[in-house]
Amino acid sequence: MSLGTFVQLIIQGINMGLIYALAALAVSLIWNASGLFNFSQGDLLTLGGYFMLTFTVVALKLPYWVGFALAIVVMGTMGFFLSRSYFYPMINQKLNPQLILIGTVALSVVIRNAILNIWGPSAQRFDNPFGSKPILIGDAIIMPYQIVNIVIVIILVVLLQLFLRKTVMGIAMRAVAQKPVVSSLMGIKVEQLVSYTFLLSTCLASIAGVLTGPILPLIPEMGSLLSIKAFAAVLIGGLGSFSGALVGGLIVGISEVLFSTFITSTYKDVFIFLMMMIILQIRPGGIFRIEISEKV
Amino acid sequence: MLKIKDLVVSYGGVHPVLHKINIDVPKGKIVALLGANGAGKSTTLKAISGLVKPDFGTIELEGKPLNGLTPEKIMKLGVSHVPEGREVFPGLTVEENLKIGAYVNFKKDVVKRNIEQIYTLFPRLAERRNQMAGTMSGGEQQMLVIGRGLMSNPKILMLDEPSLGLAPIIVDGIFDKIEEINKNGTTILLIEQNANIALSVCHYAYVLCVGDIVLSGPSEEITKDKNLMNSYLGGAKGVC
Repeated sequence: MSLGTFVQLIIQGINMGLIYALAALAVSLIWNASGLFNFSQGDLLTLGGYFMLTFTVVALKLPYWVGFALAIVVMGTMGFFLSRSYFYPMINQKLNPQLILIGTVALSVVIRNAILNIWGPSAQRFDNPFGSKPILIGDAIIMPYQIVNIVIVIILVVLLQLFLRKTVMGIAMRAVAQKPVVSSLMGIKVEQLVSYTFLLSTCLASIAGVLTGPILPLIPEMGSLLSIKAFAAVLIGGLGSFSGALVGGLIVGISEVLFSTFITSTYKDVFIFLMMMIILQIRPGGIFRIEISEKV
Repeated sequence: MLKIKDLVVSYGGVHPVLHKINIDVPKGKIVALLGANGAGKSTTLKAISGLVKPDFGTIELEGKPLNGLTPEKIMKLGVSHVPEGREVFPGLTVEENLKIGAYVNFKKDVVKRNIEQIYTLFPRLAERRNQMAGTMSGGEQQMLVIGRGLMSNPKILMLDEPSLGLAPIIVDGIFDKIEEINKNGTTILLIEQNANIALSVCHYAYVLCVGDIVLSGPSEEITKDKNLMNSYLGGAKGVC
């Protein structure tokens, strides 16, 4: 195998990995803010893709970027109201976390079947405006959308970091994630901040959904496929860690592509989960285990 | 400035923790609320800051009732509650912790000025401004939570057991700063188990004993009163 082909495989792996990373990031954000593991994240991602399909192909026939922006807005709004009307009542009643967990599984089933009913079972796709003319770097064949996706995710991650570190709202989100009661003593409306975190995570889901467009065809059960990989990414990287979600996603994406090319594609999922199990054995908190020594 | 009248608080509506207590905090003074473990000191603060709902009685700040308001609103009216146990946000830096203290009324220039003032008050915090708060020593964390409590320019600063678990020399330093903060114009309501150190800085003191105020008055009087030792130490003579 030439170096070019190898580079091509890595780019392909990074592209898939970034999708997992975005979903993993969304899972970690919600986990930090509310202690909730959101099993419906993969289906929210799928829903984002279908909104994009509706906005650019089926109904409105909007240009790509306009449809993209609209999908983010619609999904973000939905996330906000979902947290207000569905998750927050459960959290407020101090329901057993396992029950809320089942609540997120239920939501996942509802979304999946809603998609099936509205958009039908067959695979569909929307076009991207970046063209299908491959770029040749050496003998590596790289598709334009692959570059665009990577750039979009890099910009997104930088913006997200700036938001979480430099704005008061972002710092407050992190504060609420660490100590909700003390946060309310600082005058932070904890409920509102948790809703904003949900909004952020559904925005991430919609972006991941749109970016998946050129990689995988849209099918209603796409979410289950993607989310288990994203969950593996979360656990490998470290639950609740920002860098962990990114690195975990990339590890899963790249090793998946390399394993199916060099060994066998039949057992690529087995390999990912084997890797996850080994990492959980050696380092149960994941690679970027959150280590904050707290003085008693 | 802060008037508590006939305050009754119970957890779960069954067992009252406070039985009709009255506390008056005059403007510009340090008032200490003393008492043993379980006397109801922290509950009093939680009732003032809205974390627990009183069953009966009124809490007024400059004539405005605070009962029934949310913690955010009470904070906005100028009550800053520094909880016990040095509750820093461990994963935020010193400076981020301070910024969060000004969340209710975030104006960039005011925040910047306040942070500089707090760094002047506690030079140690300035040295550690970019360090994660969770990695600091207990004394430094106590400085940080007091500084954070001052960030919102409160009318009244409520400190819950600032001496808890700190070495005596560090406690002395912290209490010097508490006096300094008060001289700069902030009214302080202080809760302490360590009566000696609290009485050395406060103007007035109240002694709380299993839900009742058993003694109150200017700190010199309380210091002289022998009953204090009895009631305060949990009733060797059966006062409590």
